[in-house]
Amino acid sequence: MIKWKRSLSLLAATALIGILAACGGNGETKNSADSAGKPANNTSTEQQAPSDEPVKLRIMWWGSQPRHEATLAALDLYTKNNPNITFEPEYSGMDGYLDKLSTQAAAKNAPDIVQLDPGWIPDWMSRGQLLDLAPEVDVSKFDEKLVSAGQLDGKQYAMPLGSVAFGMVYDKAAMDKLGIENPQNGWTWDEFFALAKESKSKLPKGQYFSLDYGGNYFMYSAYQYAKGKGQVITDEGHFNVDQATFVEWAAQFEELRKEGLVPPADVNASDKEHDPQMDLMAAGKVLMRYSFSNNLGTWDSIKPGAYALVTMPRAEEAGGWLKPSMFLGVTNNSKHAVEAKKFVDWFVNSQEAGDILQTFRGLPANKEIATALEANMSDLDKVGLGLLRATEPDGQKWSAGAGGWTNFIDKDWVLVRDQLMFGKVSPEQAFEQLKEASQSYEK
Amino acid sequence: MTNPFKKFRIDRLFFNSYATVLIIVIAVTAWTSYSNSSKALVQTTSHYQQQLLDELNNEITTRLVMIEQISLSSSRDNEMTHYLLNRQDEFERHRSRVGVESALGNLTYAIPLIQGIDLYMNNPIPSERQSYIQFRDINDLTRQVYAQCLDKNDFCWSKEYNLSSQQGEIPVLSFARKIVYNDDYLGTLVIHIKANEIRRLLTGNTAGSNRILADSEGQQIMKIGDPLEQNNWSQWVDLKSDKSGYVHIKGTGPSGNTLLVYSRMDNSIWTLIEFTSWNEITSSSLKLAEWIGLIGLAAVLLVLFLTLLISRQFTKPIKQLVTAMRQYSLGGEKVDLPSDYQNEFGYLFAGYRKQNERIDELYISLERRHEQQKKAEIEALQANINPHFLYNMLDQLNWMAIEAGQEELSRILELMGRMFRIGLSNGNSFIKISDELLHIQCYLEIQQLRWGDGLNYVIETEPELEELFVPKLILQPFVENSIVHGFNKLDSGIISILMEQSGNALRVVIDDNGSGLRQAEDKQPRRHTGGYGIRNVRERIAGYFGEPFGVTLKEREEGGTRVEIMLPLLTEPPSKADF
Repeated sequence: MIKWKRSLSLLAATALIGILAACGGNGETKNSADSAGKPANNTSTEQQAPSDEPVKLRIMWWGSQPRHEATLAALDLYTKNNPNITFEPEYSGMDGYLDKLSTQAAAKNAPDIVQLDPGWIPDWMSRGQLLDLAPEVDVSKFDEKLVSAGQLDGKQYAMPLGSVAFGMVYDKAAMDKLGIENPQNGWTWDEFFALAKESKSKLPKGQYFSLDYGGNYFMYSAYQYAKGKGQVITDEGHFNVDQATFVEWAAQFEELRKEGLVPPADVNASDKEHDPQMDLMAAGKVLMRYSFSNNLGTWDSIKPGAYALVTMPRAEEAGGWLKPSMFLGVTNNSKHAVEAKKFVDWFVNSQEAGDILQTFRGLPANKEIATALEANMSDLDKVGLGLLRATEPDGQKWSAGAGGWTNFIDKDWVLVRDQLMFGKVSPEQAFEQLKEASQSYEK
Repeated sequence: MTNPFKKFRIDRLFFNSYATVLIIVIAVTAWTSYSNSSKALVQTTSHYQQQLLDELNNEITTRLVMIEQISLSSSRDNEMTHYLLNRQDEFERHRSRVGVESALGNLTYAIPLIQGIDLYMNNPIPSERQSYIQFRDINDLTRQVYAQCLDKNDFCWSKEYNLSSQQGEIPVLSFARKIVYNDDYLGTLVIHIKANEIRRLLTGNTAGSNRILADSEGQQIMKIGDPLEQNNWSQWVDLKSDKSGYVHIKGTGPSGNTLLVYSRMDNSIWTLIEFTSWNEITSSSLKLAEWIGLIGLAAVLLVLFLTLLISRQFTKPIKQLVTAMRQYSLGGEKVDLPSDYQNEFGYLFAGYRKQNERIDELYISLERRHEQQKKAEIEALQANINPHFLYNMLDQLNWMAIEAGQEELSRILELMGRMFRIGLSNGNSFIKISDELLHIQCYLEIQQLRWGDGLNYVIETEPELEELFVPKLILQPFVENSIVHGFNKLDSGIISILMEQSGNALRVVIDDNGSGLRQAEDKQPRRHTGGYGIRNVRERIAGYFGEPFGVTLKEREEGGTRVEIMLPLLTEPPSKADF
């Protein structure tokens, strides 16, 4: 009897415990799973670059539509290969790019990976805004001349993406139609101005020979190089515009402006390079403009087969030069520096990236990839390569220039350019203004 | 209606009532916990949602107000108004455009929330298509999403729409403001902000919520999740009040009931509305109720099982008892009741056993008595074999004796006839004492006729006793015994019969002065008839009355035998049913 009672209460107790245990079960397992999962994640985040932690990298570049598409495709491929890495791309044209990047950098909010113009590299490196790319990025396959521009004190801060030749593009189809002779590689500035004047009679109203380069920094640099007067701003950071050469140059364009061989100032000012509607050459308003060897594809995509490249006119010396097209660096406020650098390595060193990116940023600076691309290049790219090869033998030695002159080129020079263009100043006055403005940049 | 507790089997009653009570208790517990906790949940949910929405509202308002302020300051910027006034030459115009573009550009670059800025003006110089800053023709304004609201206002927010840009279709909210200078309408400044940023704010840390951002008119600007349609909720939100609140919307559609919580603030033109499915809120309390129900169910099952066990244990002895009672038969096989119960059941079993034993005893004694009675009756019947025939024969014999002149014989036959008549007494077992005395007198007269003067007798009684009843023919056997055995060797004898009341009993004493009991034993065995007669009387008295009534025989000191008969005082003959 007593035994029976005891076993009954035991049974009841066991059953109750069973029910309670069943209730509590879920919660407990959940907790233990959480606590087991979290520390593991934490340690991996803290200690080493995790292989599967989701990472979003911001990347910013400028360019035209074909370059955007190729770059986005490359990003997609990288995400496919590394599912934990995704991208937040910011891309635009060149207009405002540096302003935007500088503003973001000032707010410590720059993207992880940025495309930089070679001219900005010295400033960015000296200000410590870029991270040393070692050891993630392999530089062994790069042309020493190109890669050295991204170095400071023996550290690699930016990777050159390609090399381009500075030359000119002309609307071959329109010139042929108008019966204007095509320029030939190795032509001279005299031939340029002569061809312009020769074309006057053949150009219909509203169509011009070339853009107004009277105040253009790059074109004047080419002219001064050709005239054997060296850099406009020396590597040491000195203002080196040759007064006579500048006045001569500006005066020649002033004449073209008066002759109606370059567009009037307001028209010229509305030109937006590579914009299908607003690019004056693409719009059929000018026959010729300067170009880098890798840009033919962009114009060709607007009006296929119409355009051709030619070397920058020369004089005593060659007018054009080879230069790294642009650089890729990792900014110092990147929270995912390791992943960003790994991506940069892939972007510049992997053949699969090279295959996608083609020559939209110039002939790749990675020699192996460049060789592989050359083997089966499109006709367009071969034209670009032709300009590269034609410029190479006696081209001017390109230099990133001295640091600290970016604003002079982007702001002061541009103001003088506009004043010249709108006829507000004479060439002499323009020179004086430049010289005066340069004072604050002199080292 | 009959009381079920009187109708149904006890184990079922026990089990069912216990189970019913339990199930009701558990159901009530589950229901109250569900309804209370869901009520509490709705209250806390709406409270916290409201707080959260207020915070989000604050945050969103801060952002949007900032944009409005930026728009205001930009639109009043000197360079901007001068540029728009367009009183400059081409160069100045170009340069101020550069300045305006750069100023607006810097705003865009510095404030990541801004996607881009459009400036609608007369004769714009367009920007590069990819640029964040666009100068557009004022005539294109009418085609834009925000054009309508500008008809009535100087500035307004658009609802969310897709802005096509270089980077694809980007969802934006646009703030448009008319730029007016000296009462002249110069253009419209439109700041596009990234809707996804606001959406992120609106979403907060709670994924999966359904919220609406509505403007001062109550028009939906942006939604996340799957909120109700505009006309389904607008009636519930008081747009005139600056107070937040919540409403329980009884839904008719498939979505069912919805909790609508909205946030309105005095410093904000925005209304934030959150919709939460009622089921979602109450799901956890439903889950709680389910758990309680489940636990309850398990408990019910367990308890039912226990109840079953307990009720079995309780009702088992009762059943055994019932079975035992049902199977009980007199003298039949006894059902064994368990003997290890020490509680009430034990008493019940013991009581039942004891009662059975008593019944058996009683039955045996009853049976014995019944047998005796039967025997007495049979004997009485035997004694009365064809008394009428004998009586008639005696009558005939009497007539024969009278005819033959046998006076004495005739007398004897007459007395015998009288005796017979009394002995028959219509088959009654009890007769009045007067009849009994008459009967014995007849017998004694016959014996006197035989004995002559040697036999004398005395009968003492009281008249009131003569009306009492006694079993018939109880005196004759003893008188006969005295005459046949007591006076066997003697010439004379006296028999004295005394009847008196002794307490509650009738005492009859028959004395003789015969040879007594011893002599009778020594000599020849008693005559069969005499012995039989006395035994018959004894058994009849025992059969009718039992103790303390009966017959005693003893020697008289002065010689002879005394027979003492004790009988109850019967004023009327007992009915047959008494025996």
